[in-house]
Amino acid sequence: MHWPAIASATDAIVAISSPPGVALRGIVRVSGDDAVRIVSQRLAHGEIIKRRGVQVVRLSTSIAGERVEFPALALVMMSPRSFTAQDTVELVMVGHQTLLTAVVDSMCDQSRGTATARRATPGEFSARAFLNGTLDLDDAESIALSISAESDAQLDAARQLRGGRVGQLASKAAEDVTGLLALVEAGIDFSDQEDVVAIEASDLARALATIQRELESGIDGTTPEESLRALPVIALRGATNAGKSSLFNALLGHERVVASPHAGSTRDAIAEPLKLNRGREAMLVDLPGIEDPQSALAQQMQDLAHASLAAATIQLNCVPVTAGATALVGAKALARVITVWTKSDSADGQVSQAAAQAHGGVLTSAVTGEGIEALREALTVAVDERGWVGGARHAPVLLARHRDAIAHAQERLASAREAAQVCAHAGRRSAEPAEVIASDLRGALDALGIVAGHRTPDDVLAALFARFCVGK
Amino acid sequence: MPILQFWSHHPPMDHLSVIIIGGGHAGAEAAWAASSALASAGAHGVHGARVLMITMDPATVGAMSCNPAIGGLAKGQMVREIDALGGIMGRATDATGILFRVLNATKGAAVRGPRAQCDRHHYQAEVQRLLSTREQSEVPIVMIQGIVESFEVEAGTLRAVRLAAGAHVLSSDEMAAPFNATAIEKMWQGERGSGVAPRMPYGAQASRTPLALTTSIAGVSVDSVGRVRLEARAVVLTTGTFMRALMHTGESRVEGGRVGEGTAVGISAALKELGFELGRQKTGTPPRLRRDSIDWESLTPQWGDDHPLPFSALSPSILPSGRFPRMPQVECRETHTTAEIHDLVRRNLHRAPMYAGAMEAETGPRYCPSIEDKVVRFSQRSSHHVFLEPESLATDDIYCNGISTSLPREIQEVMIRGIPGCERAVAKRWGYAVEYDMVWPHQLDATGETKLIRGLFLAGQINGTSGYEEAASQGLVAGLNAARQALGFEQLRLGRDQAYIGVLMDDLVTRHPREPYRMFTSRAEYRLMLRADNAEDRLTDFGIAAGLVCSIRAERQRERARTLANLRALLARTTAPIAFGSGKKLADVARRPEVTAKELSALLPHSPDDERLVERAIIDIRYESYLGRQRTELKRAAASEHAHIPPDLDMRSVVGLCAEAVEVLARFRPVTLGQASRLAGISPSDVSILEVNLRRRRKSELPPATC
Repeated sequence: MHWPAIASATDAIVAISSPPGVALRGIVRVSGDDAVRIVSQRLAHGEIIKRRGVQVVRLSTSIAGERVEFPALALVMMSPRSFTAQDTVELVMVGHQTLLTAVVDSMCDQSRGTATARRATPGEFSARAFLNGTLDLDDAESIALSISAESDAQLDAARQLRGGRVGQLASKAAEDVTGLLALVEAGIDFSDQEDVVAIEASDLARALATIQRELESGIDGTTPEESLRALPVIALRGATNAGKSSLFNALLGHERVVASPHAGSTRDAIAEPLKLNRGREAMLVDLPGIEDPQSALAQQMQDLAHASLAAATIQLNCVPVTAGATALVGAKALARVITVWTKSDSADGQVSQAAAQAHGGVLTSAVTGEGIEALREALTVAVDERGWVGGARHAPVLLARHRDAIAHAQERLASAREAAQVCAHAGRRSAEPAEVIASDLRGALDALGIVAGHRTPDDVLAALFARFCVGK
Repeated sequence: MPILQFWSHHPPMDHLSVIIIGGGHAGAEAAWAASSALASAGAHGVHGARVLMITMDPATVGAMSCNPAIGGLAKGQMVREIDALGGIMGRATDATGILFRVLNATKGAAVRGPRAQCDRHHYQAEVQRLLSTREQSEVPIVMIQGIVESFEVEAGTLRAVRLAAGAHVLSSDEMAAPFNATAIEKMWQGERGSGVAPRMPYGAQASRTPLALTTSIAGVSVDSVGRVRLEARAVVLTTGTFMRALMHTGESRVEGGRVGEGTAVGISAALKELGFELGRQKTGTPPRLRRDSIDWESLTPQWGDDHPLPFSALSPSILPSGRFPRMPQVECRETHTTAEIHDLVRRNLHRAPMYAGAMEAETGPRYCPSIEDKVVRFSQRSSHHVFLEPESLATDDIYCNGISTSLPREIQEVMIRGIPGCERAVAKRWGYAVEYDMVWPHQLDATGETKLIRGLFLAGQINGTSGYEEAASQGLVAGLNAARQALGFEQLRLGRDQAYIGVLMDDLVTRHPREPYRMFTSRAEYRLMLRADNAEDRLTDFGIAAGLVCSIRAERQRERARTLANLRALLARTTAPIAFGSGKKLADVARRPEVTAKELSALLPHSPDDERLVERAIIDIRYESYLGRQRTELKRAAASEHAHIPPDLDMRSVVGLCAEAVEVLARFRPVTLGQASRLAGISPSDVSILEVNLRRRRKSELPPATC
């Protein structure tokens, strides 16, 4: 079994399709066979999605173990009238990253429905669109380039992750499964050979249980690592009119369009990827002042936003020079706090550059550009201090894919173990039917290979030949 | 005028020749397949085609160089596949097998491997007899004794083959086949070991006419010194172990690919000149002993199956004697090596060519180690099995399975006499290692055709494989496609999900082999589908469409498919006796592992004559959940698996590919996206990028709408 991401395939794929950092509205797109059924199975109260048009639905998902229901706009486009020319559902919802990620996770989760999607690989939606003729010839080059760029970055991230805990866990499991598969295969392909004794069913079941347990306990503890390896978050804090939005735009180097006629938009956090020096990157978050939430949903969204602020690794405490030194309220101990004196161009500024440095902090002006480069350097140093991981921007999506792969591997290992146990109970000496167990082990190995690197049948044979003297 | 243009590019149809060079297992199967495929094209108005088999010594066509056994694990499935595609290996095995045994008989159906030991001389004679039946057919197989010197290539297309002076056309010895039948009858009556091998149809008694004087073959020209030029639309080259072959026994070296035979030097040079990248591989064979010099009765016997099953769907009804098995059956004996023998080997390792550094080839096969390899790699063991297997009923040669060696003769002699039961044994032939040139198979497509020269196909050990079955499989594919190339038909590839033959061809063109390639069931990701019991259901329709399958076989397959469909419906529909649980159907009963085909047949209102069909239906039912999963996987990849990558695509011009991917793709030059996706170093994203670029290219190549 291979796992080729062939662009012209028709199985359902899912991804967040709104650009990262656009906070107003987020879009999750599901495309391919069964797209409608996949979404339907994740609606609250047995709602069924209509096969065409725009409709309001209530999505049901879980965030950090809590069941959450919230409204979304579902745009259903049946083949061939969609971007990919395949059945497609676009879910437009509040654009919070945590929420969007949770929705994508639930689409891939087999425990949430019989129909599941898999996470799209780099550029897969565009490639499908192009191959199905809905994108122009002129776009081919840019699609190829974007797939290439995305996949380079992901490869880079994957290399980094391989050295990480999940990677090591999967590598260890893959090695163990390769060894067991070699034993099972030896009992099949070399049963006529002198010293090949197929592994006993009970031993196999025990060994598989150990691998499963190790994977399980290892995976349980991976959440901290994920947040550690995700793109660092820099949050802007400060009173209204402290100059946060101006600073936000100045750091990004362009005007961020936030104006929107839709009510509620200003209550969302706004986030944009920020390029720092020496190739470092971070997510810059601007959290507007907190108002009275008008609904339970809005409350939930605000809570999430605050949670993300709390998780921010760096907080910029924005204080106008006109206001004088103030202590930051509510800064978490985990976060690194940098005080930024804003509006240094103000005529009546009370804080000079020297004074700012004396208090700690950077003196800036969004109008003259003063201190912006110094702040960028300070942020770069701060990001490095917490341990920069290259390609970190791609880590979350990769980690999610890795989680899926490990879950899939677990499933196949469980199936193999069950078969081995049945044999053991039946009192059969060798593991039969060995070819069925081998099929599950091969499936598990392929899934682990997504994280730990592919193991070919030749690798299994090599393990076998190293152990047995085969050949007459 | 279009018609005239056609003639100016192609010689008239009655010049159409497909040439097969070499008459081993690859060559024989290639000739048979090419002749079948060309004959079926008669329906398309193609007449006057022929297949020319060129070999240095026609008497050795079909020879079994090493162990005279066919089939085994994975290999048995391949023989069934060859048979389902109309090939000859299964038929020849059924006709000459002297011990039939299904390996893994107690294991799951997917991994059972039928195997037979054959009478090596009768097998060889039978292959020659089968080929000779096509001597006078509509598309004749013409046997030519000759030495190939070079290939004539024009604009990347093969045009002709040049032979050294002295080539002859042979007509088979008509007395050879009846002699076989009589001899076999005598053997059944207990007369064995006459010491006389059967007469070969292309042996010394075959009549010979100088090729230069032949008028019946078109496209032949002769120069002043008698060298012959043969025009050909397609050539299948099967050199086996004969290209620049060198045999080693201790310090002694003899040029040749098999004892007493020569070597082909010219072909290596010709291929190099054409730009092929050659490699070198080695293999070995054990000594053969005289049966009457072994204390046979003192050793543990090994028997074949009580009720042997034939390989071929056509046996036994068409076997000449009308019975199966056709030959009397034999038993083997089992013995073992000793610590003293291992010591002897260890002390003399410096005299083994592999360890003395006397061979160019770097590695021998890990799955078929010499006794030297066994002693070195598994030094903790003090004994290895040795199986003594009769090679023939006509002669008394015993094959010593387990002690392949290239040590000097005097050491071999001491070694043999150290084996229990062989204290007085006399060797008839000594073990040796042979090294030979091969062509790195990434230079081929899975059709068997080289990417470098249109019309040149390679099959068998020349592609770095090992084994009769692997060779025959490639021969069949290459012979079929050579015929199709000659006819201007589209080339055919078998998928990894269709046949072990497909796995073999795909592995060859997408992997870089580090040792002679041998098939194992673990190489097939669709192993549960690729079984011996369903070979004809997987492949015979393909064979019919490709023109490989005779009408008898085609009719039987249609009948079989009908019976099987009815049987499945019956199982799904018929309610089982209440003892099996209420509301259960027979299909549910079939799922229980302890239920046998016999028991299930008894529950059927009317069961098919052949109980094996019931078995066949049960197997599918038991594997169903796994088969379903595999079909889903297949469906996903199906769209691009066969998408064609044009041979002239410059990988460097593909936008978005990284340098690593370009390098791998440029080296292997995959012909389909499926092949590309299986190359080491190619990521799924690379495949997507390639697919997008291919589509753009195809779109931009469309002619403008207004013109």
